[in-house]
Amino acid sequence: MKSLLKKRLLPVVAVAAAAGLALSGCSAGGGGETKEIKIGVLATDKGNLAFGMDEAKAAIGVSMAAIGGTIDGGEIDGVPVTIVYEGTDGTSASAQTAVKKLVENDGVDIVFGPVSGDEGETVVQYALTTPEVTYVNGSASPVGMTLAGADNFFRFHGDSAMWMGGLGDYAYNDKGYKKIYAIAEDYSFPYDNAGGFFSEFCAAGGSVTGNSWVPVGTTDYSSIIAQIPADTDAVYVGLGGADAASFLSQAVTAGVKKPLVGGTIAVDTTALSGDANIADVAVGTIAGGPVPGPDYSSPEWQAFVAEYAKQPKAFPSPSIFSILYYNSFNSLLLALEEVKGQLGSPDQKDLRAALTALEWTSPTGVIKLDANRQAIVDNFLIEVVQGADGKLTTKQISQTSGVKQGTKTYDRFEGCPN
Amino acid sequence: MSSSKQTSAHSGTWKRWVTTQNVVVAVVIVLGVIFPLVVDRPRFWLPNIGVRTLWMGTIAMSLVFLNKYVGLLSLAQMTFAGICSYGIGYFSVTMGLPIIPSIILSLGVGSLAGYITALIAVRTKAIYFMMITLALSQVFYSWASQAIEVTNARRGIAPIPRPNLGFIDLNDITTFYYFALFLAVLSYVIFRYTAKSQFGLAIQGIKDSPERMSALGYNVNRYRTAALTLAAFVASIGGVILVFDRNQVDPSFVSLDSTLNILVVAVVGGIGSLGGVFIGGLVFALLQNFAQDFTDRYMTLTGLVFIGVLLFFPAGLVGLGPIIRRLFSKRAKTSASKASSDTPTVERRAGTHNKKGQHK
Amino acid sequence: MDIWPLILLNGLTLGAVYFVASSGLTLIFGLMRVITLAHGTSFLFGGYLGYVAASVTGNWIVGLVAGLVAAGLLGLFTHQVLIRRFQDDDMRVALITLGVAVIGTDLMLAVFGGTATQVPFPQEFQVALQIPGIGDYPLIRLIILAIAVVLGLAIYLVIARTRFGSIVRAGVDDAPMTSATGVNVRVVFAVIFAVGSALAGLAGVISGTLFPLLPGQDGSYLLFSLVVVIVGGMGSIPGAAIGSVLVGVVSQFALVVAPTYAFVLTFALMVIVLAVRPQGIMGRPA
Repeated sequence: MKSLLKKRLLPVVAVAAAAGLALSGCSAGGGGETKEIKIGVLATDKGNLAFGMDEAKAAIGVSMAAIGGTIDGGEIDGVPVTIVYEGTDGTSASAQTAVKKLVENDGVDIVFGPVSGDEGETVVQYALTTPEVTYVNGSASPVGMTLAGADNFFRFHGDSAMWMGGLGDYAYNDKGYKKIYAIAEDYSFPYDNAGGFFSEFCAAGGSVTGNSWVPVGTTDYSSIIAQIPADTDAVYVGLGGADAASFLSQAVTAGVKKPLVGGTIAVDTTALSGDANIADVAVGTIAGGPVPGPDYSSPEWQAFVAEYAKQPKAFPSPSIFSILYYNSFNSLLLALEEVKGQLGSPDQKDLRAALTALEWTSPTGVIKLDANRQAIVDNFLIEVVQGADGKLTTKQISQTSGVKQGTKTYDRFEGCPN
Repeated sequence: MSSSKQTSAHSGTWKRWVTTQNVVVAVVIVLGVIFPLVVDRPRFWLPNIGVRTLWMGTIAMSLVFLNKYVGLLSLAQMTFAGICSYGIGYFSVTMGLPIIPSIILSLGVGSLAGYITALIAVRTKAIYFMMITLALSQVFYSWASQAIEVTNARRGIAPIPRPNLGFIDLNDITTFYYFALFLAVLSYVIFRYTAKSQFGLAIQGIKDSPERMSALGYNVNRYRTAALTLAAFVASIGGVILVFDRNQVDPSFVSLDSTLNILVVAVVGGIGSLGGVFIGGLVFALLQNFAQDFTDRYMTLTGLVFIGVLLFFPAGLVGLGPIIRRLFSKRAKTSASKASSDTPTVERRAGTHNKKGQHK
Repeated sequence: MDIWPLILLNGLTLGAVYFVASSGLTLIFGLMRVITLAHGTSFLFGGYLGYVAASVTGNWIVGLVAGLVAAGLLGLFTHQVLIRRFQDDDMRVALITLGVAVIGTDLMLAVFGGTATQVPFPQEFQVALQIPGIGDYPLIRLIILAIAVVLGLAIYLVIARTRFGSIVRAGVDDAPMTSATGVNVRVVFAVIFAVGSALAGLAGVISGTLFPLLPGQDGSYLLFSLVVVIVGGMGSIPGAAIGSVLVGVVSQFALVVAPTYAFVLTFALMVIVLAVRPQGIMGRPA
């Protein structure tokens, strides 16, 4: 309905904007002044990532509080901002249903989200068919999303290959791992994540003693562990969530003595705070990702952590999802402030110009966009350590500034990625 | 329940039954046709509610057909649809074939999958058949999740744009909706026609008494195989609508959840009624889109509705029709009993096939 | 180093978990001729409650018992409230229990969340045992293998040697006749349904000790249990044992030989068995 209005009635709309556009529940589509901004948020509230919605709301709460608003909305230069939420279960199907509902039924001007990679690829495809809406990514990280040619789609955080930036060199040169065995889940995120690591590691001179691509949901790793060759220096663990927890606890009982290199989601706070006694294998694991260690001392980071802790349903420390959602939402908010709430026309051009030109210091370093509307960001290397209280935590090893996106998407590979 | 001969004594009721049912069908089709004209936001309602109802209904209808006329509850129908969807993705996107041959080939592949399933499972009965089709559907799901060369694994095949078929341009959502509606009605007609054909009478005879039909010289397994293949073909038609609705295909099409959703649609709509599935589909599509506006626990709600239907309205939501009529009509007694015999409940098969299960 | 004996042992210990899970399903089917699709729900529910009990008390055995009892009560409730009236109608029982499974999945996600948890077990068990020809092997897996073997023998002996067992056997062969001899078949059915569910709950705790517990496992363990009983033969305890070992060993070898298609190969085993012997390895012709 909205695109029909625009295509056929554009001149009329310019005259009678207020009356005509009430039909689509959206007052920003036409050529005139923006009277109201409606932002539709996609986040997971069902399935294994059900906490995604709470993290998204916490992030948005922090960001909106800074302009005196709430998670339900606020005001920018006199223009009211409403935020509506649509829950998904992390699958492409539910993301497609939800994004259509936001755009077509709720008539939002801007879509913010989604959480998972499967969802992200679907939302980008949908964005291509709705050029009048602006999309700001939440935390979906497949490399290809910003290479799909959707010029209304913006991502203000790194992709999953960029999250490994610097780790390959560090593993080879500083840790002295020459040969690594790779165990990773068999889908797109670990392909990109492992691809980012191993392309750097192999370029530095390292070699791969074997790859085990295991199906997501594999619970019994005992036979995989048995295959790790004796002359391997370290094991790459490209697993996440429950699979990572399974692997770590079985690595303990099977007596794995090799040091580990973690994918971005292998050693997050949820895995480390679990009940299983994994200290024996987890300590010393190095990993890369967009989340700094808790000891990170930038004032922006400290301020964010303090504000985050005030949000309802906040975790003890911010998860990767809340950080990425915050950085992304705050980027959007800064751009909206830049244009004083006036999105511009056609196709919200003023907002998009402001998003493209944006450069600011986020809690995790300076964020700006490249020509594909993909962020250039800082990346962090961390190491798992045992705290004074015996609990596992991470410490910061290094911060790599200005990590840019490669143009390569990875598929399943054997040995080094080519 | 399904008399094979129309005696003169029955022909009067027979005709009246046909008329009533056909009037309802005609009304539903008219509602389907005017749907795009009455909704306020067609770009939301047509894909998210309309087209979704149609593909869920078509796939669920193939399940209902098998249950009603063959007495087999197949949990692989969603998988056949998904296989057809994958076929269209593979032939048209991966191999670059033109779209019409891709669709025809994929309908063939989906039907072939039904035929192969029949070869494996047709010798088993009732509850075994259900378990085996469930397990087979998971075989395909596991394979589709991993076979990167064919299915592109978890990432799936995308984009699969709605095509311009030459005589009809599916890019336009309203056109696509009518295309889907046409396919759904076509599927319904195929099943109605089949049920009344010689073949249909034979499979119903086999359902009621396989031993007798076997003794009469019918090759029971061959008839069942043919019925399964036909049902897989119609499920594949659902898969055609589905893939152009989603514009992509990935393993979630054939996951356990999707399989169970189709079963829920069939049961809630009425597992003994071919057309009732579209009511089930509509209810389910509305729940998927709007339930989260008022509850976080919408799967619990779905489960409760599902159990409630099974406990109290085994004929599904279409079974409510006769109940309501009974309340308001004096002539209700006859029509309700007829309607309920036309919409049999979940088949009671334990007793007939497993004497061990009886204990009364 | 030759890893095949180790992988075989891994397959056996994994099969042990599958056996405990599927024995309940096959027991229920053997007597009642119904399939409960809420079996995975009992599994995960038992696992979670076992996790809570073991975490609170710090005692693994208490966790095992809690999981067993909790799932047994859930089974009893399901049987008495929802399916008792329909237990001749196997399709309706399957569908109603499916509804229970849908609700169970959703509520457990709401209560226990989407992240993985693991049942804590004593530090003393968290050691490796030296086995000739294999090397170090985790003691906990051997303990679980032993539990499964003892449990299997116990079920077998109860059915073969006790009065209750003879009622069950008679009920399997001819329920109406058994009922006519004065046995209250309804009570027997209720007990068997509860025991079958309890076994699933026990399997949940055992599995939750070796592997994490998380949403979705209710579905996957239901499927594995179905595959096991289809392969082994529905209703047969020895069949469940054979099926479990086969599924466990095949899945472990597949994970080494072709990890990408490990799940597919595990299911393919079932297709092969069905093609050759539709009633399963130990099943009687249907």
